[in-house]
Amino acid sequence: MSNEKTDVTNLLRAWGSGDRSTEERLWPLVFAELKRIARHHLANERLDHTLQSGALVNEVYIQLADLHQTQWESRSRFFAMCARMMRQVLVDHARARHSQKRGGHRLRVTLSDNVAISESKGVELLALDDALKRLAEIHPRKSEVVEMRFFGGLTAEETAEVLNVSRLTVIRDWNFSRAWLQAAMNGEDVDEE
Amino acid sequence: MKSERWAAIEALFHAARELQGEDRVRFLSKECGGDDAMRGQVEALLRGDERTEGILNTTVPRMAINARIGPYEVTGWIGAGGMGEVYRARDPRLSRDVAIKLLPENFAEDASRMHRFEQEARATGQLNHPNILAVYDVGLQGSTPYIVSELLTGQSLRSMLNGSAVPTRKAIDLARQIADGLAAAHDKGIIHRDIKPDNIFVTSEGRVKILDFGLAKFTQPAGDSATVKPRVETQRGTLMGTVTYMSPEQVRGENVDHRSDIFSFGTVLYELLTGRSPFARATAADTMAAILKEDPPELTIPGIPAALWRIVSRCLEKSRETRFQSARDLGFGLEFLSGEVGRQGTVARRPRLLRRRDFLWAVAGTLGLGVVGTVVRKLLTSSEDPLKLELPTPTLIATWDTRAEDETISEGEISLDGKFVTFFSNREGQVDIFQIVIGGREEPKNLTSSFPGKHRPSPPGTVLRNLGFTGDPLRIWFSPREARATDSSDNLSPNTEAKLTIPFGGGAAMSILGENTEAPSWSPDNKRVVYLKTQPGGDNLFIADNEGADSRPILEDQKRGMHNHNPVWSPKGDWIYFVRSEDPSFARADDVTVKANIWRVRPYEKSIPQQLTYLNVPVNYLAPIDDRRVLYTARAEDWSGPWLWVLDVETKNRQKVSSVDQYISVSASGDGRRVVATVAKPPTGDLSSVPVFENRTAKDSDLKPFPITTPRPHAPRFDAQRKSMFYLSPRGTVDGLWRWENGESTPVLNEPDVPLFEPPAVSRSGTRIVVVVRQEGQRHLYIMSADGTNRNRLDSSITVQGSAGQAVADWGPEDKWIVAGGSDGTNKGLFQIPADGAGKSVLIYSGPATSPVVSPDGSLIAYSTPLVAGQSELRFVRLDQGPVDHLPRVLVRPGGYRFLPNRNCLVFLRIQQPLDFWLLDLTTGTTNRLTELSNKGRIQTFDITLDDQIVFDRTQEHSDIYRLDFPK
Repeated sequence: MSNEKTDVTNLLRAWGSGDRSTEERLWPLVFAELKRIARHHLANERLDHTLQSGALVNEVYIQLADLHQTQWESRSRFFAMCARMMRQVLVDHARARHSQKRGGHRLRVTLSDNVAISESKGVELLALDDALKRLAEIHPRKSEVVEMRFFGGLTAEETAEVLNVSRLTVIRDWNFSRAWLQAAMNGEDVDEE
Repeated sequence: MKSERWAAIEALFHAARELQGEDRVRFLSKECGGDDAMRGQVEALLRGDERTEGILNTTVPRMAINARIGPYEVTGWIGAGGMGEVYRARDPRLSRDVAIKLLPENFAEDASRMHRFEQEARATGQLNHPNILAVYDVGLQGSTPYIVSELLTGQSLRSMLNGSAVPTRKAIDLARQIADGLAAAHDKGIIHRDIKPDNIFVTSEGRVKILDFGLAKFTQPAGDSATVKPRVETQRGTLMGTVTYMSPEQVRGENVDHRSDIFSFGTVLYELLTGRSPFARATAADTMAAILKEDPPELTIPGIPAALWRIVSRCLEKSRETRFQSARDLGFGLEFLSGEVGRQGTVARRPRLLRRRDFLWAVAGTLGLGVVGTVVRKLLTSSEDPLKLELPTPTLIATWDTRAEDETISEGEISLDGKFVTFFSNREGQVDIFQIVIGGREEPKNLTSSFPGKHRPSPPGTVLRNLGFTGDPLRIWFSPREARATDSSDNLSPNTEAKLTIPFGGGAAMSILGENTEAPSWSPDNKRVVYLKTQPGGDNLFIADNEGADSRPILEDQKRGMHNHNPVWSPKGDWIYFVRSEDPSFARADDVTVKANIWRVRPYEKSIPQQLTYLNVPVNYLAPIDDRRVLYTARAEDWSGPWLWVLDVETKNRQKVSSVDQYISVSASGDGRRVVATVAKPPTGDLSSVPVFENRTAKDSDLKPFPITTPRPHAPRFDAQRKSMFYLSPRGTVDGLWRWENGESTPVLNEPDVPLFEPPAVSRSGTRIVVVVRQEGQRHLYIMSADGTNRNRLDSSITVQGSAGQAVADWGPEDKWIVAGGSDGTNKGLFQIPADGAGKSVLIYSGPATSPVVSPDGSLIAYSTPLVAGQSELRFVRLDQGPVDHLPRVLVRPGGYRFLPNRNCLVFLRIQQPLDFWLLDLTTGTTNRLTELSNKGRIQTFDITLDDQIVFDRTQEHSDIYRLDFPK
């Protein structure tokens, strides 16, 4: 692991200083780590897994990057990348669980209420993912804002930095997107004439 | 959809979002004209915006796990509400978990509002009521304010309700607790303004905690205008206020008083009983109209007594004049009712299967609710392990605004009645005694600022108490210090003064108890006082009446060197607990190798003492909290701490109850219910250099920072060529040894289980180091190479003497031998120890001696007498000729002296404040002052470069005073 950590640290450093050729090697490593950590948390029924996804990304960062060795300016960009992957991981997880449930595992009744909660969260997550895709068609940047802030746990400032817009724009985008997504998830007609 | 149209919709959405009610409707009508589709879209978005449930509303934490908010480490995400996000965090200074509410980012835009908010938060922080969330701290994270409070487990009333009613009896119990909390706040003139189920928390023990006191005020526009703006946006678009629980006067935008809270309380009680709120309508406008005009729908639920309904209606009166006029009255009404409902025997309708809880409720039915609490507690406490002490949440006292940066507070003492606190603090420069009234404004008052030399308080000590309350809570005793300028060295005479007492509030001092007395403690009934008398053989305990008359010994040690320190009474007054230590060679030395233990004795003449602990570490302060348990401060066997511990005097088991904090002192009220502790924060410090001038004293402006990048470097020691310097610096939780050479620091020894406290002794060539290692309460010398390898015990027969942190050994010329102060089991004194392990150590001076340093030519050794009663004297011995008597006797900081490399002089640190460097010319025997520095921290160790630069460490210690209230 420590070798791997050094690897990733070096890759991150190169990537952070603008060497995009490292991506091919870097992201699979990051994605694997992300999945590992997410799976660990999901397996332990960390219920509000979507809520914690920002925290998970943070954990990935801590796991992968030897913080003492990394004088790395691109933390936000790394988080933004992870946010996308995290969305993928969580949605996959929710989908798998959802279909499994519909696939008729009757034993579910013996599980605690908590699992039920996380399942309903899972369904909501799938709805959000769906609505986000629709939002992306209309306004790609806004969906990115949501992705970074919701799945990556980025602050408004960090999101602004990655997207190269002002913090106020991020806040406005977020306010709008949130309203739009909540309307959309509530079955309102917000993306069609 | 076209992008222009999207842009138009978005613009309308943002604009409409800022408007409320009628204004919004008017705005939309005007802007959309006849474009119903556009209006429909915007309204759909606004509906989306107003949804506060769902996945998007519980997300987007601004802080990552492990991030810091002020000094707090974020450990989790609890949730988001109208008033910001809540994190779980750890206070590393007190090692306790806290909840931190990070307010919306735009909250502090207005500086004056921020200021008012801080004031209000501090006022709330002092409410200290079991039904009000305890606020510990407020601060700014960047420009975002945050509030630190106790961490609760349980749920909000909102989620408890979840659309359905709670059982009547439970509702009454909750309501009564809410009313109690409100009453306590209203008494202090604090109004909540936003009482609603979301702001009421029910812990898993069923205790109500009202959250966000006084906050609502700041979410509303400054100045009470006629325009109602019940809804305030955060940047994240969450809803901050809801109109549903507003009082009519709030809806009208009028000034509100505490009776507004009573109305809101009424709506909450209504909802508790029925599961729905009385005025909630489809829109905010309708709701507001209902609050102003409609009567609440009558409660028609069976089982709700008519009296309860009357209480609800009286809270919900439109005119505040006709409501309950105080939350206190309301509470009484509910209390009365809780008894009534209990007697009505609804118990019969409970399920047949009586679980423990139900059983208790059944008991409640017959006894009346009030009694249940006591019964349950009795059941719990009797079976409890006394060592499973749950330390109550410490509350910072004296949170005055102008808290000094590097303030050191020590010897916090609480009065027998638990209402007053006194402590030492250096916040006004020199050490003074301060007082505080608990629960008042907690503004510390300096009692000794005007005291002249002779009556000034002695600096706090960790061995003997120097400060406390007399049996009269309005009188404080302290040890005065007698300063006599007899010669150039400002000699201090030993502290043999009688104790002085001063009235709480300040005034003239009076003498009490006579000379050579120490550490008095008054019995809980204020009839007797126990104290110790320092006598040639050791310290003995005496008891007297509360004025100090009719004194009789209760414990007289025949054995020399027995010290009986810091006696305190048990809450019942039937025992006296004290710290007993044995050190045959030094009278009252605060030597680290002193083995101290807790003992107790009956408060009669000639009673037999009982030993309660078997420890190898110094024990400092004792605070009995009940018949069985004594809190005390002591280091752990690995020398970490000092920690707070609890001792079960019956089983003699003990348990550490603090985990990170350094507890410097602890004191308990007479009934043991309230404890006051001083707690140290991690020290800070740096290295500086100052030149030795021939013709003038050096000032602050002559100081240069010494370029070391590791944190808090201290205890510097050079080799003879001054090529490399060795020093201590924290690495992880303990101090490690570092080498600085050519501007770079490298770690030499850094093992968590080998914590270093004393400066290293560096050989002349810089190739070998001697360090002090603690093992089983003893300190041993180890020798090793300059890179930390080849570590070996140096003469295993010798154990080291001297105060913690002070240098213990030094090298002779050519790296051949080391001289150290210590004991070989038979003799105590200075030993010359061969460095290569061959040959025997030689006792070169017999007698109490610590911290030797060797002159450049190796012929003269300077050492200090052990620190006794705050005094330590510089002495000299010639290697071949024995003690040197012709040099003046000066008082020095133990270990605080080094020879100048090129002149026959010695630089030393005087013991008394201000801490400055002095020069002793060994040829002429004259002394002169080298520096005149402002006091910024404690100087412990220094060394001198070849060009006569004094390189010294300065440590700033910070400590705070906390109170801990044990539940009754």
